[in-house]
Amino acid sequence: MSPDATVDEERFEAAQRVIKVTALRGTPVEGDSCANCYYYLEPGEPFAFCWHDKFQMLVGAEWWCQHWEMAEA
Amino acid sequence: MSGCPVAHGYDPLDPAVVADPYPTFNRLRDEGPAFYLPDLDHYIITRYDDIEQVLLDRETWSASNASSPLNPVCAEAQAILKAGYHRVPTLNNSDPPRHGPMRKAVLTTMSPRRLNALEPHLREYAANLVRGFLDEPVIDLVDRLAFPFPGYAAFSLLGFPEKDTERLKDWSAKRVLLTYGRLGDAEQVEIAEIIVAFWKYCEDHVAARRAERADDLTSDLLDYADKRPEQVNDFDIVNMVYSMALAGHETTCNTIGNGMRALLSNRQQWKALVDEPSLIPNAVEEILRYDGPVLNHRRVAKVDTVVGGVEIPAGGKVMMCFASAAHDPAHFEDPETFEVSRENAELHLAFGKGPHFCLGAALGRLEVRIVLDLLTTLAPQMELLPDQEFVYSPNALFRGMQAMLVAPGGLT
Repeated sequence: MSPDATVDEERFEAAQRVIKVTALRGTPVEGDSCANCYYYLEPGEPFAFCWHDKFQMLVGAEWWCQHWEMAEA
Repeated sequence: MSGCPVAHGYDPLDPAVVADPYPTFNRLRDEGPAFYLPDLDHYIITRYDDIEQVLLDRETWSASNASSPLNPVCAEAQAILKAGYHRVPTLNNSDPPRHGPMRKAVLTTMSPRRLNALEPHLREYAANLVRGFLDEPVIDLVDRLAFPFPGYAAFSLLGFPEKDTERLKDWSAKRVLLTYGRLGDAEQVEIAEIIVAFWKYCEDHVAARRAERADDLTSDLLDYADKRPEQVNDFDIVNMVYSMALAGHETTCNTIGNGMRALLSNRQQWKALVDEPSLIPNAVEEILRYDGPVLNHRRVAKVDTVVGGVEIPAGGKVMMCFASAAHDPAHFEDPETFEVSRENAELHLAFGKGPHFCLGAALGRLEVRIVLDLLTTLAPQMELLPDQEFVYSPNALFRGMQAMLVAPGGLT
């Protein structure tokens, strides 16, 4: 395996762990989505950085996880 | 029950199982993914992957039975409850579309970032409790710290007066027994009256805050309801306060007790925390995995379904055995070993998962972390008294000790 592939595998495993720990989904739940979450850094954009300490990664506006918090609160 | 094996001889309320459920859970999990319990009319689900699937699948599973009595309630107690207790599905036992607005209301008032402001107050309160027993030779750690600290946190957050704490704690412990224990008729009637009193207490508290706001979560919820009257009303808030009055402290009290027992019984692990405080956050996760506060949680099937290859009909009630999932060797290597630096400890299901993920998780974690910070710093020599019997609350849901004797300065 090349060094680059090793890095990719490590990143894949880290991403899988984030998905598992946070119950990250690719669809909204009960109208809640990353787009209207407090931690979504650029509301209005289809993709943006999530600065929740469990994530700190790029997420989609229509995604959702169990750490969702209301943006306007 | 065709298609599903029956767990003969397993009773979650058997005193031996209450005292140490893990050997039984390990045996059941080895034998199969799901069993029917005829005496309780529930299926028990034993394996991590299956429990995770149930938690995440709201099309198939309803949370409506999460707070229902596990055993039948006698007619006299039912009559008392019907007359004075008007709880409706609100948080842990609600489904869409009601669940979302209720959850959002609490999230706005109890979010992790809001809790940050609470931390200094919590730390000061807990430090005073710890300093109060440091010079005593032997204390009951449950009575002196594990109970009063989460009680203070939850009740003060809701705005309940401190003078009511003892009474509320007593009421809470009895609420648990009616819902998840096995009681005689006389005890059921006594506790039904307590539940009505507790409900009335919450109604009065919300009414008092409606008349005059204070700096607490109940007032914040009322403010939220004023802005969104189509989503939340005062009756909903009574339901939320009633739910949080129990959920907010019972589990954390148990986590602190179970965790300190695990740490002091595994001296190397305790010493590791004393020497390396940066391990404490992960130690909290390992405590939640190794001997968490919630043994079982419940769902009911909306449609005919299959769990781990076992057929469960629509209307079938399941107990998801969180404690078994936490010791599932398919997910946790050497699961019977308590290891504060375990790499994947946070994958436990102690707070549930998905849309019903525990709203108090951040607060609970914070409180346990504060306790470990304080005890490793101020009482590093603390030891368990040998040969004591650990008595656990006789119920099928929460796992918590009623007392734990320790020597804060060590055994001489």
